[in-house]
Amino acid sequence: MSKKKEKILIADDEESIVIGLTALLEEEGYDVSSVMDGLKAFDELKRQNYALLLADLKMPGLDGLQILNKIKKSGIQTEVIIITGKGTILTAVKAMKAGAYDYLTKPVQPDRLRSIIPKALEHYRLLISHKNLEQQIKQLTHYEDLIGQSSKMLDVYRIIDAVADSTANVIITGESGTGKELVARAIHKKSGRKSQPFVAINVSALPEQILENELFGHEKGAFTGAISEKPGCFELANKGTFFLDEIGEMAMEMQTKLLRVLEEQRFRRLGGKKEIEVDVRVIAATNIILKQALEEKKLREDLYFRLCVVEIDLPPLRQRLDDVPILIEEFLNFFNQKNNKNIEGLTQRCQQALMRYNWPGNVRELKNVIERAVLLTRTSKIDIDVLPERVVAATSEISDTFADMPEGEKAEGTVMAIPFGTKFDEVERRVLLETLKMVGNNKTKAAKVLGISLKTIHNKLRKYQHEEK
Amino acid sequence: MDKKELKSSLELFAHKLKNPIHAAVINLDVLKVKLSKQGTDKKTLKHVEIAAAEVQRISLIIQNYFDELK
Repeated sequence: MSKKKEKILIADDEESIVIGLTALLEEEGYDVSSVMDGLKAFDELKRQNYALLLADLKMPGLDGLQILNKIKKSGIQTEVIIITGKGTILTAVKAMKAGAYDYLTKPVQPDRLRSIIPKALEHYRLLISHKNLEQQIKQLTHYEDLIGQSSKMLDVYRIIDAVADSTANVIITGESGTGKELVARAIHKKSGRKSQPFVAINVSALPEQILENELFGHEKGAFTGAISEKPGCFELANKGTFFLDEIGEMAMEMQTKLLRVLEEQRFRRLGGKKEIEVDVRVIAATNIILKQALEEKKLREDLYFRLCVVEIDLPPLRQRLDDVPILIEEFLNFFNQKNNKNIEGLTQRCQQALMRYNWPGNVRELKNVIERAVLLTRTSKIDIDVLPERVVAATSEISDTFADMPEGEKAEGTVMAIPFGTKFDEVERRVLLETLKMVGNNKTKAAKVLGISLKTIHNKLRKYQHEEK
Repeated sequence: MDKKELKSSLELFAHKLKNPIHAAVINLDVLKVKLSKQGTDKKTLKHVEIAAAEVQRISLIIQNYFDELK
């Protein structure tokens, strides 16, 4: 009975056809609406969801093909059947290429219409459920704009959930490229301030005087060149959230001024006499270790305690390598779409290389590596030849010793699986025997690969032989 | 009017007939469905069916003529 509820939009400029088609489809139990020109059809599709659009090819405003193109471009989910007067192959091909479910020629046979519509609707239902599944998967691996489901990231999400709705100041620590601003944005979006502004500033990027001007704004005539008044970030962020990145780079004097605003929630513009009161939640971030910054007197202790009601430490990517595949998939989709490409994935050895690299530039570096790889790849899969030299070099150190081995014996064979709970002696035995196998039973090579002496290898092998007896 | 002009004029004529025929086919079908749901007797329904079949015939005649022109 599900078809009874499905909505169909008819677009045709002939009233007698609209009346006929509407009645025919209503008799079949569908929820039918109609419009008499192309532009109105597109507006209506934007206004509400329709499972199917039945459109005449020739219409004022937009014709059937133009609507079809606009639908596809805007990402509106609906099936489209085009009705055309000219039953030429050219029109049919055009319609199908533009993404129509099917096309019908005039006069449309009512029984043909009755049989094709349920099929188009079934197609629509499949499409929607596919989209829903994708959405559900996304919800499992995404938290606002943060990506990852490793235990370290789940901890971060839990803290964000816990603090978002409070007014507590937050300090986010983490290496460059770990996504500190994304955390700040997530806190803002989850808070009661989400409909208010989110203002971000990178402290390290600005000289002290400009920074002061940016933070507090100025009055007209405050200094040479101040030809009009300008509100600062604190004013712009009023009722919202203010994100201060790289706070560890802020000059001591500025830290004192910042502290005063945090304590009093009021300040004066440069050259201003009037105190301006603001309600701002401050989130600060730094990529330096806070303890160190305090010891080296780079960060005022009182400012630190004011900011650090909650501290969120973002893990570097190398500590959450299990998130790398999800991140790769996300960035691959993103750059495929951006560059109009259709790369399916990564070769096994490429995936392995990315999993072994230690990512000093964190997620940002991974994103850049994938963008570059997408641009350079001409095949269906990304291979290591499009990875930056540093990534390949770092990961190939491990297998350098295999370099002089014949092709086909190396690379893919460099991974072995050992179940959890295997006794350490057994792990050692397996690794040793596998390595020997890989280097063609050359014990000198095996010793080099494993980083042990030739003598140790001989001793171990003797021991294994002895055990087997 | 030369032969070429006559041909394209006839094509246009045939094409213009498609919309009214399309409307008639759909509306006659709706009429048939509605009448039979209302329990109209078969004799009356027969007239609707004939009308629908004749409209289809007009459509076929035009289509054949159109094909021959090509």
